Amino acid sequence: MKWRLLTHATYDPKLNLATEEAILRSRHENLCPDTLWIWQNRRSVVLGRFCDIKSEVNVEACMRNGVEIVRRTSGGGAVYHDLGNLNFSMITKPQSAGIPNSVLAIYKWSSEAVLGTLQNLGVGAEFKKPNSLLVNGKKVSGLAQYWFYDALLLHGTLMVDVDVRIMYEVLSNLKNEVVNISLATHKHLTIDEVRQALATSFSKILGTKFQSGNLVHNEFVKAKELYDVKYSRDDWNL
Amino acid sequence: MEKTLVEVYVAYPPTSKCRELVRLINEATADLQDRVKVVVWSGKTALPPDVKEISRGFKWAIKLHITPAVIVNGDVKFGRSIPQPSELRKAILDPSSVPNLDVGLE
Repeated sequence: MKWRLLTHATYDPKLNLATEEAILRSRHENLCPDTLWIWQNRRSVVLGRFCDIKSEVNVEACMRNGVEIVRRTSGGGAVYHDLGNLNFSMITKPQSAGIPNSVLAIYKWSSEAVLGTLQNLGVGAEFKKPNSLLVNGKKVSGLAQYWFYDALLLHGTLMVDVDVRIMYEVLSNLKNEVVNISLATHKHLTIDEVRQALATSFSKILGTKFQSGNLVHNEFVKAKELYDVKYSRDDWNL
Repeated sequence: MEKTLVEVYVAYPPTSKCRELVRLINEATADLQDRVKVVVWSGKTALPPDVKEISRGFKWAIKLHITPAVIVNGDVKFGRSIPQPSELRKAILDPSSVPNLDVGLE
C-alpha cells in the first residue's frame, strides 16, 4: 500500500487531535492507508492524557495569551504549540510496513528521520533515549507513541520558531531547556521548508514515495464524532 | 487472602472491540467474585473511589500507551490485541503461568 502524505490542514488543536485519533482508528480497521501528517496548532497547551492541569499549566497565563488548553490521547507531559511548531504524525501498522515493532526501537528508528531533517537544514543534533532530540543539550524535538490494537501512532514536535516567552509563561513545570531550529541555524527558516525537509527525510527512512491525499469519508466522520464526544469537551480537556 | 487485581485499559471512547474485551473479562471472572477485583480504565483517569493507587503495570501500560492492555497484579499480560478466553482465565487464575508482555523496552 502506498503511503499517504496528508494535506489536511486546520490550526484548530481540538479538531487536529480528533483527526489524528480518527486516522489511527481507521488505520486499525484498514479503512485508510499508512499516513504521514505534518501539521500545526494555533497557540495551545497540549496536556498528556493523565497530566494534572493544576501542576503543569498556568491557566491564567493561558487566558491572558489566548492559549487554548487541550488534552491528547497519549500520555506524557504538557507541551506548548503555536504556529512556530511543526507536529508530525506517522500512522501505520508496523508489522506490515516493515517498521520495528518494539517501543524503544521505534523511537530510535523514527529519530533518524528527525535527525536527517535537522542535518539537511544544517543543524547538528543528537538522539537522547528514550524519545528526545537535542541540539547542544537543549530539546528541539520530542517523540511519543500510542498503540491502538495493531496500529501505531508515532508523533512528535519540532520547534522551528516557537514563541518561547509564552511557552515559559504558560507551562509551570518545564523539565528541559528548549531551543528553536531558527536559533540553532541563525537563519530564518520557513515552516514550509522544514515541512518539506521532514517529508523528504521520512520518505527516505520508509523507503517510499508519498502520495499526497486528503482524509477519506470515514476519517471525517470519525474525527467529527471524536471531536463531539471527547476533544471539544471540558470534562476531557480540563 | 488478598484479591487478584485485574485491570483493563481500553480506549476512550471505547470501541466495540474494547467492550468485547471487558465482556470477556467479566465472563472470565464471573465465578471468582470473592477472589478477583476488576478495574476498567478508560477516560482520562480519576481513580475509582475504591482504588487507592495506580498499579505499577497500569503506569507502565499508560506510559507506553498500549490500548488495550490487561494487567494482572501489576504485570501487563496482554496488550495490543484481545486474548483468547482460555489464556485470559489462565492469567487470572495463575498469573505466573503466563509471561508478561514483551514490547521491547530493553
